[in-house]
Amino acid sequence: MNLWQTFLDKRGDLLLALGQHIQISLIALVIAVAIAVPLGIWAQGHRRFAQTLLQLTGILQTIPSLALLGLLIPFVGIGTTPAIIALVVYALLPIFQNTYVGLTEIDPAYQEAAAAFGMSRWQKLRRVELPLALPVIMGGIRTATVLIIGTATLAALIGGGGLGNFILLGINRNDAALTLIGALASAALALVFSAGLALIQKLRFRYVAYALGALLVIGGGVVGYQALRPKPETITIAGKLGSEPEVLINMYKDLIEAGHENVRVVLKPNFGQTSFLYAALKSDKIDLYPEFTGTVVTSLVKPSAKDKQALANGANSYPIANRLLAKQGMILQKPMRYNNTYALVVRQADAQRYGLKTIADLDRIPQAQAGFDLEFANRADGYQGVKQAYGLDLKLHSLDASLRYQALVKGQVQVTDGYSTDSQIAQYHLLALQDPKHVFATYRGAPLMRSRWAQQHPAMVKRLNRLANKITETDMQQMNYAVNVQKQSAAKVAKQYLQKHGLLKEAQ
Amino acid sequence: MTDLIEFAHVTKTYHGDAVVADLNLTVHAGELFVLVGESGSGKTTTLKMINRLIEPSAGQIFFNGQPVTDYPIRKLRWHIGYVLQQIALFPTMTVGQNVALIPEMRHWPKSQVQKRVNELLDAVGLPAADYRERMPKALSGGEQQRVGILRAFAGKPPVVLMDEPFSALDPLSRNQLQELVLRLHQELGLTIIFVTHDMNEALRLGQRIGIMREGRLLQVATPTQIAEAPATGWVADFFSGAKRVLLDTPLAELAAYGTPVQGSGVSAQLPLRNVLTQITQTQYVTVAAKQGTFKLDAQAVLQFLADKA
Repeated sequence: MNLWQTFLDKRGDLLLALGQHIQISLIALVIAVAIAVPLGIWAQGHRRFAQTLLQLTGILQTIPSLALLGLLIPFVGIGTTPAIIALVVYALLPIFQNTYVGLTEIDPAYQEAAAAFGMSRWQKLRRVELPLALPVIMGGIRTATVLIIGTATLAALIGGGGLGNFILLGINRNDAALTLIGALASAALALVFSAGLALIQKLRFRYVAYALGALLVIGGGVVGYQALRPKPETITIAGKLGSEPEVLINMYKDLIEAGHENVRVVLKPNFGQTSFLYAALKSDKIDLYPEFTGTVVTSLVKPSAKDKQALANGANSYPIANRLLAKQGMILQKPMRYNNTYALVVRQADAQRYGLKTIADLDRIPQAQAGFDLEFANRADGYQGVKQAYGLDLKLHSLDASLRYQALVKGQVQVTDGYSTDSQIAQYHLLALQDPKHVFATYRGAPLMRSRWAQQHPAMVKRLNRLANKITETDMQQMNYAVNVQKQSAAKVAKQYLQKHGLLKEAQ
Repeated sequence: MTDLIEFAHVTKTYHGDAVVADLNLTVHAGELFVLVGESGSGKTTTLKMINRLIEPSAGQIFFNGQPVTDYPIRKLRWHIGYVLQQIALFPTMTVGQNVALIPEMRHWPKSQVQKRVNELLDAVGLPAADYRERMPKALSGGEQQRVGILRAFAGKPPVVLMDEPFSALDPLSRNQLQELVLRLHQELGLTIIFVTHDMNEALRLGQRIGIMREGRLLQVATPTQIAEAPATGWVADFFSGAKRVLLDTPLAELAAYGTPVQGSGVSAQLPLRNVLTQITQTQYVTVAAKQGTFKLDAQAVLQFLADKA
């Protein structure tokens, strides 16, 4: 793990993620303050209601953040909006509670004095109660801030961006340095904000009010400016977590821009899982993303019994996928060559020694030891299917997904499961065995988009289809290797491939 | 003498218990009236019904001839100063801001508010230049209550209510503040209603004293009248229980020992101890009492002390 090198390589991305993180957190904080403080003030006159409200906000806070994000998706879709809503929900309790308690615990003598001097409700609040309760209220805001900044890392799960991207990416690529950088930056940000608020607390009430006001005005100004700014047509391309989707969407960007139309292409790499992306595509939040035929038929559409039978018999999943997608107003363009599916992986040395090419050849290894991840070992379209179709009986060890390549390289096992385009295959000189009996479903990738969008952008679709039947498993393994291990940028790797294969030339 | 405040058959009950029972009382404009009684006697409740911090269960209270409920409540309170036992200077405001509070709410011109605050602070030995920008926390208890009194007086109210304002202070501060109250009363000519549980304090300050017990007003009279004719045995006991310090005797009570003269003199409400230094320096002091101005020399003071001791 080279933390410093990773930091230098990724500092541009880090700055961007940090900016997003601060933006999401600040917006959520301002909204939470704007709701919880007035609510806490109002609750003074409604003690019984206040108790109910305290319990309610307490319950809201016990909802796991991930569940809350999931619950919000059907209502507000994906991206920053649900992330901000979830953060606001979490921040409500500490701010409301402290505002309420801070005001309730004011010495009654001050209340009596304020009343006896003929202060109006508003004067009493502004000149006496709020300044007295301010330290407690600010304490609540500080707690909420730390909470928000920590929880905002989850925004990455639903395409909200922020430092969580680093953490998720690190987990996804098994790169501890990335995860650590994301976590450290998030922790540092929480400390800085907390210290900043502590500083504000020492200032006079009036300045705090000014500061909050200024923050609201600036925030509103930025949002307003962005809403009013005229824009060229924006094409938004998203990708799932990982290096492979990131390389692909960079290729899509290059191909679209090769046409020199007046468009702006926005990439959203590491945007989330399949269901988030598909929901985003349906609701026009994004315009296309790379998807796989196998995923379409298993997750996005509901194939009939007949279709299922055909797929089980090794039928081409692409036409079936597209027929069913059409009913949802979607179209999957022509797939690339490689099949990103389960694979049984062996060392090239063993392959040469025993003459291994297909899965059926595995019985040539005497007393073969297999290291499979638990899910693969038990899936019908995983090892259970392999066992039946090829009549194999391997000695099984269940291994965590992140450990199995290490075990293979160290010779502790002779075969593991993996994905056919894993960068480790190139990195450690391994071989993915062929699957002539089609136990593993085919997962061939292509841009998925709304049919309407495809009709409106025929030239772009044509250029995107230059990738049809291009990119082999080995190509993809090497590109993943370049990004994951050699730390090259996905944009550069994508462009190199397109140039090398002449896919950007208009003369095609 | 005009009646400024009048209680007419005022009763306050909590959960069926009468804290104040059928109270009838008139406070004249310009007088320093003291309500005295043990804790639980209903004196504070009585006081707080004037500025409507507490609403009576029955009966009516009149301010300048009109029921207090006829005034808009905030306007009523702007015209009734209030000093609390807990002092309760707002800790987030400076001394100056605390004093300026009511004039500001009444929208006095800014310059006038500033001038008023400075004058008041200077007049009570808290020089504005030094004290105005300080926070209340940085002041001693006695200084804080001095500011508390100024806060009540700043808006030039016709009446100021004081709810056991000195009971939490040390004897020295208490003595100084009692003097301050007497002085301000004399100089500003307003009405003060002062609540205390301390008979000494009542005797020192009150032109008239109302003695309360268990929600009832037992006697309303001048200190001398109470001494001479206590209304009940309990009042007599309460009065004699007050260990009156001879040196705190108001000069007015030494009139019989003095020699009548013409002209002006110091307030007859001042305690004896305040003029002792002057007598040692100038042989005598002239006192302006209601009965007429009189001259008091060392011989007269000695005679008084010999008689009382």
